[in-house]
Amino acid sequence: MSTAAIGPLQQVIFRKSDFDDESLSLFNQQFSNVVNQLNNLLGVNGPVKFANHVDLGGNRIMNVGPAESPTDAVSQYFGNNNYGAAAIAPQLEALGKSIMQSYRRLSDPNQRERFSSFLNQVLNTAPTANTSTISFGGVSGGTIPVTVSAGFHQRVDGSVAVYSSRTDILTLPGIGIANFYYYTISHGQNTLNITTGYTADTQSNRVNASYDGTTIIAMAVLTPSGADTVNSAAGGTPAQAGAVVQTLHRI
Amino acid sequence: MPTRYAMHVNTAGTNGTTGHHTISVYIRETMDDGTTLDGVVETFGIDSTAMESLYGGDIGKWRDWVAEELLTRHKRRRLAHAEISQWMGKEFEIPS
Repeated sequence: MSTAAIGPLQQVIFRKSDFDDESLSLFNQQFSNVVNQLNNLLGVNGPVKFANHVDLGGNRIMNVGPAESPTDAVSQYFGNNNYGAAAIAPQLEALGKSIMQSYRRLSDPNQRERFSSFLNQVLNTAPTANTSTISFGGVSGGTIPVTVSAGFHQRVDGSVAVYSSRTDILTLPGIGIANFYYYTISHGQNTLNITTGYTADTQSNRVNASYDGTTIIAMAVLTPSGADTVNSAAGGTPAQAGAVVQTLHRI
Repeated sequence: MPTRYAMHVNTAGTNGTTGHHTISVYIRETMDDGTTLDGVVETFGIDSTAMESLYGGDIGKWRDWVAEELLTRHKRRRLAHAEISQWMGKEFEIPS
């Protein structure tokens, strides 16, 4: 049920003769109009309608129910639940309902990505450096000990990770073959890993050995007769004359 | 009682793809008064083919070699440490 907008009450001037009528018809009609308009203002006959704006003078409207129609007013509670941070986060965030957590601030050293796929179109790899050297023991029984010294790995942001040395006894390859071993360090670790099974030092092999979170520290090259000390290198290895590995490919 | 040495193995594992064996070890030195000192942690590894050709598949022989190598390095470091610990506060002339 609804009512029309409240129209203005007409001012009626009663005269003494208006009360000569025993039924007081004019007075009762006017009084009935006043009662009806008051009931309209009380909402007895349906939603209260005003002919002008409502100025509450800084006071609140309380106990507002949930909005249903597009032009309904909303309460603080309804607004928080439907338009607040927790409500819109699922549309903005990949990781849950805490807003802005999957966004990163620039120049914040405490926010680190775990994957570098978003850098795939960057042409060069961020430089890192390490202090290791690589050395070889004597050949014995077709094997050779290879040692990468302990060292410091400096990341592009200047932070330094310390790692311990690693010694492996490796089998020399067959005639006409060279074996390549990548020594790597993974983020958060202080020991070196070794990746084996490569017969060439190629860009794709290096990528395979240094995926997200892992960096190559050294490379050992073995030939059928022993160590290839010219092409084997770690971060602390000085430039070698005659090295096949190109400068940009060296550690 | 003379100083005793033992090789302590922190971690040991074999790569599931390549079969490469890896151990992380350090020397525990026990002095005659019973106090102990742990050496620097180092990593050692060996591939399966080398294990066979060098040690006839006897993994214990490789462990012995690691222990000997590690002890040699440990003693070398201890000597160096004993030497450099004397340097603190001293001044050394640089030959010109």
